Amino acid sequence: MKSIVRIILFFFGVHFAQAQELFIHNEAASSTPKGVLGIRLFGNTFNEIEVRRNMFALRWMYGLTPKLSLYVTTSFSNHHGPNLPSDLITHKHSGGQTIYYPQQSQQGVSYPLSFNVFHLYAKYRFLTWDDANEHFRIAAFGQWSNVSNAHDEAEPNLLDDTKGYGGGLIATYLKRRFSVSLTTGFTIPGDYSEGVPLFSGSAATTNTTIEYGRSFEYNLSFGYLLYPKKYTSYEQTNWNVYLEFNGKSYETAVVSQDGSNLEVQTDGLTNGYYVEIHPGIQKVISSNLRIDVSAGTHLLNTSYTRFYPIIMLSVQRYFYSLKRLK
Amino acid sequence: MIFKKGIQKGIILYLVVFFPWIAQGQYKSVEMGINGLTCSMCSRSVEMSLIKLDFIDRVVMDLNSTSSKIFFNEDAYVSIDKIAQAVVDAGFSVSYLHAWFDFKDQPIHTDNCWNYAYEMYQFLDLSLPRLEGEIMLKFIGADFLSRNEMKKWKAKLSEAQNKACTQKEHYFVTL
Repeated sequence: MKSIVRIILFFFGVHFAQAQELFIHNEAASSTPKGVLGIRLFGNTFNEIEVRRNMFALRWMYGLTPKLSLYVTTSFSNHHGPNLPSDLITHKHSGGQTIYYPQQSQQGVSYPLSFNVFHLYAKYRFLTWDDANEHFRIAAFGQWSNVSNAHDEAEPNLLDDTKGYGGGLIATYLKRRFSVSLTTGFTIPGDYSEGVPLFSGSAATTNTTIEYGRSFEYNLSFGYLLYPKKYTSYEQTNWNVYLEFNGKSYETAVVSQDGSNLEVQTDGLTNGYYVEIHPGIQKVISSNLRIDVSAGTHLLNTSYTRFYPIIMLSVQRYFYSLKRLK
Repeated sequence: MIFKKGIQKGIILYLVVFFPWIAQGQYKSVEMGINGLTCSMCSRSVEMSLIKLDFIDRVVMDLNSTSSKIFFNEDAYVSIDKIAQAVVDAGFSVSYLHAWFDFKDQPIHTDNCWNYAYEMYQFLDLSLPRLEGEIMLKFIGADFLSRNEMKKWKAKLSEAQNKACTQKEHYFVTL
């Protein structure tokens, strides 16, 4: 492990002092300190044709034990409408048979902002190798969401799209100014059902269910402390830069009408994989208030749940209990 | 069993708080190295975790060497275990813990075991020197040392555990 990190460090050509692992997109294996409450406001925005898509989220973080952290997140977004598109299912005639199938959903349709109920996340750090200005840690995480938006893409996103659960492992290595973290995980999404027109233009509706694809996530984050070169006080402003690669592969969705599976051919509903790159910068004020901004795009293939570039903004602060303990 | 332990600890705290002279001397300060610390935000979390302990007067963190100096309230009962636990609670580890204890002008002669505030201290050195005036105690144990440092003490510690002082819960220290 150490030799791999040394090779990476060699290519970065860095001099060491202190390091950062306060990644913008991914969680590090480290925990929220015990008894400390963290509040994080974050959101993202991107342009879909002529429509600006936004997501705003509020996250409550709490260190239940030194190793176990719990997060509760609620969010608002205008990513989806209240119902599946009325023209989701179309049909064709072949040899006297009528074949129903889902078609590519329309893009650039304006939707109102809607509330995305709850997302729960728990992280347990089970391996800790600490040394002077250095650590290697591994944590396991689990997440659950009851967010159930009317979305017609195979890719599940528990935070703001799809209900379901998931889990995974995070390994973070940190030495002085440099940090690297690998997150691997899976998502088992729930399904979404609604009565939609039998086919585009039909007055008759039928119960349509979308079982979203299970997914596997693989994210790699790098962090580097730019400033200060030497710590002198908590009041010094810290500047950190990050480069995060977010990858996901997912299965084809199963779309059914009254229990009969339809043939799925559209890009958004069939299986896929992609890797995104998100460079970002972070300002830490008074060793507590974090302000992050990143701009991401796709590096390999694309996600059908968003357009690029995607801008992410977040603000986070810890609230320490002042209660004295005996 | 837990109830019995609670009463025992309660009595000790009562005696120490209201009759501090029973303690025969007192802790003056602690210097502690903290492993895994890499940012000022993390150092701040450690400081906030330590300052919550009511027997601590002030904490001075060295952001570069990731060590801290801790000063105590006058005549307060000091729990070394709680100091180490506060670092763990913040998400980090203790790499060394040195405590300055003022034995005042009452020299103590013991057979490697010494009792302070009803807590047993066992000296790992075979011949215990005279404990007099202000002396630095180095705490030995997994909660007070880095993994590498702990390896060096492993044999000596297990040898000492075989010749343990009477009380089950106690600290191992060296000078």
